[in-house]
Amino acid sequence: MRQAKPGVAGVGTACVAFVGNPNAGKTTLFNALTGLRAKTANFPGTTVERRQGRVMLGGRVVELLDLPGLYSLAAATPEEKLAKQSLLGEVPGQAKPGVVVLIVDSTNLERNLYLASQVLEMGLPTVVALNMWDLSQKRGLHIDTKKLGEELGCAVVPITARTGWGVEGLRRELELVIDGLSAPASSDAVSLPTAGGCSCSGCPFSARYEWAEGVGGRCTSGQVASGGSKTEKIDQFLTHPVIGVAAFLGVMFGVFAVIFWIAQYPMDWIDGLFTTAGVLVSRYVPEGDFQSLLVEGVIGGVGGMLVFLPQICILFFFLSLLEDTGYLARAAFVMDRLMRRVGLPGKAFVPLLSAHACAIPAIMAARVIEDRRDRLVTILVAPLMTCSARIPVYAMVTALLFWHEPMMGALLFTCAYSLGIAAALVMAFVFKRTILKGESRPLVLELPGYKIPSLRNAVITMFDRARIFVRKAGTVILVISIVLWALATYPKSDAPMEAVTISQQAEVLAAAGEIDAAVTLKAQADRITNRHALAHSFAGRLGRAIEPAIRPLGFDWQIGVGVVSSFAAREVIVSTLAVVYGVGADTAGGDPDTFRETLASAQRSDGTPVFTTATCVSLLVFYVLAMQCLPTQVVTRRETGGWKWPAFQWGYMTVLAYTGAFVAYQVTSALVG
Amino acid sequence: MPSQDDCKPIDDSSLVSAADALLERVRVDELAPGQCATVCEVDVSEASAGQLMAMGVCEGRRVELVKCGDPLILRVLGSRIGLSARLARGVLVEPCTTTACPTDGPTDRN
Ligand SMILES: Nc1nc2c(ncn2[C@@H]2O[C@H](COP(=O)(O)OP(=O)(O)O)[C@@H](O)[C@H]2O)c(=O)[nH]1
Repeated sequence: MRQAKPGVAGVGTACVAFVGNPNAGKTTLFNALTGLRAKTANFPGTTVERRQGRVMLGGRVVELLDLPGLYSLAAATPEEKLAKQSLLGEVPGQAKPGVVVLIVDSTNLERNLYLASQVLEMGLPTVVALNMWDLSQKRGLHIDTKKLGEELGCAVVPITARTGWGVEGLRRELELVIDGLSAPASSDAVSLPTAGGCSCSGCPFSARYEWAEGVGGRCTSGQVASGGSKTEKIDQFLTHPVIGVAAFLGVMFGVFAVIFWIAQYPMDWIDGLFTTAGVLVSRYVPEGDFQSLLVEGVIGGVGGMLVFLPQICILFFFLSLLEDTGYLARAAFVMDRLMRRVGLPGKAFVPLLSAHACAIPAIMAARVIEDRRDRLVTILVAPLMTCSARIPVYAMVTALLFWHEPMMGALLFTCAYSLGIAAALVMAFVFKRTILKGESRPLVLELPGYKIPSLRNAVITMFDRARIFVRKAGTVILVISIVLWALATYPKSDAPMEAVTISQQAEVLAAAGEIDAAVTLKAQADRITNRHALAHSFAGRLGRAIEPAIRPLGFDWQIGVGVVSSFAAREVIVSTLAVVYGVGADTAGGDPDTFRETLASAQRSDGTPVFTTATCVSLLVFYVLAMQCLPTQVVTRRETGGWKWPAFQWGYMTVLAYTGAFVAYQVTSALVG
Repeated sequence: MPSQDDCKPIDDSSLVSAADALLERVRVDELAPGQCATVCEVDVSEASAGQLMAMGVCEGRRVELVKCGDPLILRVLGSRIGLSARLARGVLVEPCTTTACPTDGPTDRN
């Protein structure tokens, strides 16, 4: 169309940056314009996120850029600094925005105009989207948009992002501005506040606020209905130190109940899908190493990661809904005083609680914590909470210790959960006093008015988080799964004599027509072969190599193999133990009776049982405290921006798990004898 | 540390004493609920001061204590912010003489 203009991003693609206060409706507007096409990514070399999406505007492609929500452009926080750099075009690999869309909450003009004054000062062509128009109308607030436009020196478009009302007008206005980018800037008649005109000594903020108040006052009129009073009434309860905490626990309990209840179905489907895929591949790919690589390495590894996806999706869906209503701010508010005892801010509570479903979304949710040290500590301790992948391990130990004793089983589960929580709080306390020293940032938090949440936002957030998880975690996990597969497969060893004899017997029986007996014998031969192969593989040798180190925990080399092979996913220990003790991996889930009996009757070389009470307790403590989850580590890396913190996390948790299991084994042995 | 029990109900005596305390600086957490005041000094760590100022708690601005306790709630520029008591102790204010905040943004109740 028109020739390229100075200040416009790239060749032909204009870039439009979205700026606004938190809770002004920026995400809602951005979603209304881009939908699912937008992608979330970090600013290069940081963990601050930006969203980008391309849309068609008036017949041309325009790049929309959603900057973090801000109260000011003072460049005091990383978000503010990056937002400012983006507007100045100083972020590497990102063009300087040609146009700024400033989202202003019309129900709170003064506070929002403060940021507006800073943004307008940068001199970029700007369109003001006056959002929440439905709310300000309902409250009887009359805002003279024309006058406001004159005061600000730019177009002002009233919109209701939630319903999409006025968004078409905003698009038209944007087209006009993009088309007219070559025209001289129109900010001539505008009197923005400057630091020089400061009326109070040493506070450049005040002048801006006076300006904002002046502009707001001149442009609004009307009898203000009591807009905030409903919010205030609800808040009397929800911010109450006792009722508020109780309400919060109730809400979170409800969310988790729903997660565990709903997520099991898609998890079963995903599991079934990958099992079917494995069966199909085994049928059509010739038997051998390649088949085993595909089935156990690739399909098993990817499937093991994707089963977490339903929980991640559901949790983010509900967190987004809660956040949109404004409730999460109240949760952080009431939990602040309690969390401060261990040196963490109130905002750390939701991530830590979410870690009980899965540590991965919890670590991603820790972003809401502003202070870097507070956020790091939260990320470091989150995996100590009992996530759902630990449940199979707990279930196995419970079956070994308390078979058919539901009360004792429940007690054991409770102890395991409590141990995780206690360990996390103690470690948070320790970290805040040692390596990440410093008082947690005192609470400063806007309590936005309660609003009806947007389903659309929640769905988009959910897809967004799922996409990040699959993309980031997928590649690394695939590689490690293949490495672990190789460790458990090579070097190959011949089938042991015993297995060979049994299969020969099976063939004889099959020839004689006794199919059932033949199948049973063949399965037995396979079990012996698998067990033998695993024992002589690298993983088996590693298990033997670490046996001296893990003997004080009451583990034998077979459990060692389990620990090594469950490095990437802790629940793998259950199927590995099934293989090393010769149950057959598929029986582990299918037939708990056989599985339990085989494990319970497993003996050490000296004839004593392996799974004594002390060993069981020690194994349980080990898995409560150990990292053993690669997807979590990958996400920690993404959120901390390097491998240093995931390495530290793995290290401290392994030391903790080892020490804990050691103490548990020695104490239990001494008590039980 | 102020707890929920320290909350003074807004009664006449506290208003009178507030009037007496005219030009006398108090900490923002010492205000009575519903009382408003002008900020005269913000003495907190730099990071927190930046956050506070961006939300409108800075010299010369008017704030109203909505709810005391730890954390407490302030109304600033028509929006409500939660503030840890530790920070509130660093915010010095001059209580207003009148009961109601005259200009307090469009979302002011009544
Ligand atoms: N009534 C109303 N609510 C809105 C409007 N725009 C956004 N919201 C709601 O305001 C809340 C915050 O919006 P969000 O887009 O998350 O704000 P952000 O923090 O600026 O990204 C959500 O509950 C939205 O549903 C609007 O125009 N009218």
